[in-house]
Amino acid sequence: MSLASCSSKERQAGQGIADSTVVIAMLGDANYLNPVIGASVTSSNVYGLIYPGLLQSEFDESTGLLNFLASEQSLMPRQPGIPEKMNTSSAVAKSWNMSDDNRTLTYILRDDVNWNDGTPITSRDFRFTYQLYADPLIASPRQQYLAELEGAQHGAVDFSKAIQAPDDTTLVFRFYKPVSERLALFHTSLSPLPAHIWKNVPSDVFRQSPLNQNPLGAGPYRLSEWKKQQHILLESNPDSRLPGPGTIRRIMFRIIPDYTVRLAQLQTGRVDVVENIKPEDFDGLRNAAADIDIKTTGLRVYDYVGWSNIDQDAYHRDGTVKPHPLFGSADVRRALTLAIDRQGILDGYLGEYGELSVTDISPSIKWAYHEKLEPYTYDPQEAIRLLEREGWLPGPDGIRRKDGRSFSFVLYTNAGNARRNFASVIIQQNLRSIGIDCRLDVQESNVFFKNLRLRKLDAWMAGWSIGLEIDPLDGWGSDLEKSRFNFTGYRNPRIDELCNLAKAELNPLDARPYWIEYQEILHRDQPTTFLYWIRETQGFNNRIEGEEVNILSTFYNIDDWTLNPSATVAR
Amino acid sequence: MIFYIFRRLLVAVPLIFGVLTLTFFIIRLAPGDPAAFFIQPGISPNVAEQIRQQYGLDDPIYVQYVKWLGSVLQGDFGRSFSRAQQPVIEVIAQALPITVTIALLTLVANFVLGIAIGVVSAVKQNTLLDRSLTVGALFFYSMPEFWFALMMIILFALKLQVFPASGLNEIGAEYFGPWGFFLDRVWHLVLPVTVLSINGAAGIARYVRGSMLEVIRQDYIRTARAKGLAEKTVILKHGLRNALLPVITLVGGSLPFIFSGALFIEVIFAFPGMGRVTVEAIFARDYPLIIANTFISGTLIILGNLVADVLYAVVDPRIKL
Repeated sequence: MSLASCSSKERQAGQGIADSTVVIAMLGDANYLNPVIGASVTSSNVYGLIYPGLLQSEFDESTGLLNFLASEQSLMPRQPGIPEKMNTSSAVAKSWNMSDDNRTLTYILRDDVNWNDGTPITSRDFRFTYQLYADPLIASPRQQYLAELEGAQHGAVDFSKAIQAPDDTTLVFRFYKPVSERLALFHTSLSPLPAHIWKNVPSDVFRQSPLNQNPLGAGPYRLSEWKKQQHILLESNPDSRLPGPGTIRRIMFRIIPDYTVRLAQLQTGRVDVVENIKPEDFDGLRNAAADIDIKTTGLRVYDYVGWSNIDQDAYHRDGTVKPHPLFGSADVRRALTLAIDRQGILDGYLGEYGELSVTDISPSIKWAYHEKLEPYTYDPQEAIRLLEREGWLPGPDGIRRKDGRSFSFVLYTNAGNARRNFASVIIQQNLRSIGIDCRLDVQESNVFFKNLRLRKLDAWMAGWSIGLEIDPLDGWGSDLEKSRFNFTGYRNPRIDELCNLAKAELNPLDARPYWIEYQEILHRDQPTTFLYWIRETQGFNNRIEGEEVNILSTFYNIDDWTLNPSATVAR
Repeated sequence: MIFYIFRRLLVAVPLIFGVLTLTFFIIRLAPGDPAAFFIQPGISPNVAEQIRQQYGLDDPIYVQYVKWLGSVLQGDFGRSFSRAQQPVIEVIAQALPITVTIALLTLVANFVLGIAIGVVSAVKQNTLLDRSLTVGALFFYSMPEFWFALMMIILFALKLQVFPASGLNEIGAEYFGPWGFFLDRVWHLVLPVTVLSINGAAGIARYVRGSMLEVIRQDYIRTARAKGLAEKTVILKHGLRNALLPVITLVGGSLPFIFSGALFIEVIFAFPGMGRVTVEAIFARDYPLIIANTFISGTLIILGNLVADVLYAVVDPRIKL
C-alpha cells in the first residue's frame, strides 16, 4: 500500500517475518519477566515460556482436577487424545515420592537439562528460588504456596528443614502437617530462577534489578526484544530441552489497550489472537476479511449480585452482627433471586456463551459439582409470596414496606463493564415490577473494590474468577475479620466446618460429599444471587493450527502451535 | 523583554511546585490503593502490606511528603510502582518523544489546514464554497474526538484497509530499511494526527476567516490592488501576513489542548506516549508517576502561556512587555 516505495526485496523480508511470527494482542504490558514477582497476566504468559518448570500441569477435563506430570511419572493417568508432540516433557523433575505420612515430598530431577548459558539446572536453583519466594522484602505474590512448609506455622519458613538439596538431582520438601499429594505438588512446583545469576542480587533491590528485563531461562522461547508498552518479542530457543524449541519461530505479544482496536486488528489479520471477545462482536468476526475461529474455555468466571447479609452500620460501630434490615433474611434473598430474570439476562447478552450458576462451584470442576441442584427459575409470583410472608407489603407509592422502612436500595457496580451494565438495568426493571426500588450507581473500579472490602455497600454486582483448587473459606467464613472476601458478611458455622473437613481430606475425591452439602446450603441460603458463569471466548486467526485452549490458559500449548504461511497476510 | 521572560520563569517555579504539592495530597487522599492489586484470594494478606512498606506508604502522610520533597529537590522523582520499579524519569524519557512528535505534527497540521481553509473561506466569502467549508468546520469542531477516532479506524483500517489501526510500526518493520521504516512510521501516524488536527484546524479556520475578512477591507489592500499587483500577492503577502497577527498567539494557547488530545489518541491507537502513561498511572494509583506527569504537563502549559504572551509582543509592536 503506502509502502510502495520500499524495494520489493525489503517487503518480502517483512512478509517472511510476518509468516513466521504469531501476533497476540494483550491489554497491558508485562511488569516483571520473573516468576517470583511477575504479577500481570501478560507477565505470566511470557515468563511461562521462558522459564522451566519443576512439573508440567494439565487440566483433566473428565474430572476437573489438575494433573501433575514429571518426565517419568504422573499423578493421574493422562487423558486420551493428547497430541503426540506434547508427550515430550517440559518438567525438570523425573519423578517424585510422597512419604507415607504425607509430610515429605522428594523429587528426583533430570540431570540433562541446562539453563540457556549452559549451566546445569540443579535442585539448588529450586531451593534458592523458594527462599526468594519467602522473602518479605521481595514481597512475592506467591508466598501462599509456601504456607504448608516446615516453619510456616510459626510465621517464617525454616529453610534448614523445609527444603533440602542433598545433591544436584534430589530436592526434598518438608511440611509441618500432612498435605494431600496434589496440593503438595501444586505448591512445590513454582518456577525456579538460575541461582548462579541471581545470587548476588540483594533483596531490597530485587525488583529493580536489570535482570528482570533480561531473563535467563531454559524454556521453549527466549526473549528477543522488549519495547516497553509496545511489544514483547520472543524467539524459539534452539537449545531448549524443556520440552524443546518452540515450533513457531517468533511470538509477538503486542500491547493494544483499546478493545475496539484489538478487534479491528484481528478482523484485518494484523493480530492473530485476541482474548475475551464480547459475544456482541461474534457476527462481525464471522464476516471479517480474515478467517477467524472462536474458541471457548471452561467456566471459571461468574457474575453475582451481592446482598449485605449483616447490618453494616452496627458491625462497623461496635462489631455486633445483626441481620441487614433488607437482606438479612434468607427468604428475602431467595425472593430476590426468583424475581431476577437471569435466563433473560443470559439470552440477551451472553447467549450460548454463558450458563446459569447455582453456587460458586463451577460445572467445569466436575468432581465436586452438584449436578442435581437446579438453578432457581424466574418466578416473580413466588418472589412476591415470599416477600409478603416476610411482612413486606405494598406501600402507598407501590414500593413494599415493612415496619416503616421501604424496600429501596442502591445497586453498585464498577465502571467499564458492558455486561454488568446490561444485567443491572434488567435487574432494576425486574425488581421494580415486584415493588422493590433499586437505583443503580457505577463507581470507578478502584473505589468500588475498596468499598466492597470495607463492607460499605448494601447491594452490588461483581464477579469472581475461581481458582482451580476449591478454597472458598476466604469468601464465606464466619470469622469476618479473617475472611477478607466475605463482603456479604454471610455466617453459617456448617460452611466453615465443611470447608475444613474437605481441606483435611488427603484425596480430593473423598471430599466430594462435603462439597455437595456445601452447595446445597449455599443454594438454600442465597448469601448472594449467583447469576451466570461466563464462557471466556478467544478469537484465533485460522492460520494458527494446533491450538488447544483450556481452562488453565489460552496459551496452554503455544509452543506446539504452527503457522500456516501467508493464509491471510497475502490478501 | 529578557527581563520579562526571566521574571515569568521565576514565578513559574513556585507555581509548579504548588501544583505538585496539591497533586501529592489529592492523590493520596483520594480513594484507592497502589497495593490493591495484591488484595485478592490466593495471595497472602501479608503481600499488600509488604508492598506498601516497599513503597514507603506506611509512613504518616506528612513524613511521606517531607521525604518526597527531599528527593524531588534533588531532581529524583522516584521509581514507578506499576512499571516494574523503573525510574519515572526513564518512563517519561521513553514516552515524551512520542507525544511531542504527535503534538508537533498536529500543531503544524492544525495551522496549515486551518489557515488554508480560513483564507479560502474569507476570499470566497458567502459563496457556496465558503458555506460548505464553514458547515464542515463546525461539523468536525463539535464532534467528540474519541468517537471520530473510532469512526476513522472503522472506515480506513477496517473497511478500506489503507491505514493501520494501532501501533507505531508494522511487525518486521526493522527489516524495511531506514527509509522504509520511516515511511512505515509516517503511515502509522496519518490517522491519529488527522483526527487530532481536524478538530483544532476547524477552530483556527474560523479565527483566520474572521481576521482575514477584517484585513481585506482595509485601505492598504485596496491600494495594493490599485497598484496592479496580482490577486495572489495581494491576498498572501499583504492580507495574510496582517491577518495572521492574532492567530499566532493561538499557538501557545493550543499546546495544552493538543497534549490533552494526545491522551486518548494514544490509548485508542496504542501508542506508548505520555497520555497512556498518565491514564494507566492514575488507574494503578502509581503516585510517583502521576506526580512526574503532572510536573511535565504543568511545565508545558506554563511555558505555552509564556510563549503566547511573548509572541504577542513579538508580532505586535504596540505591546510592550
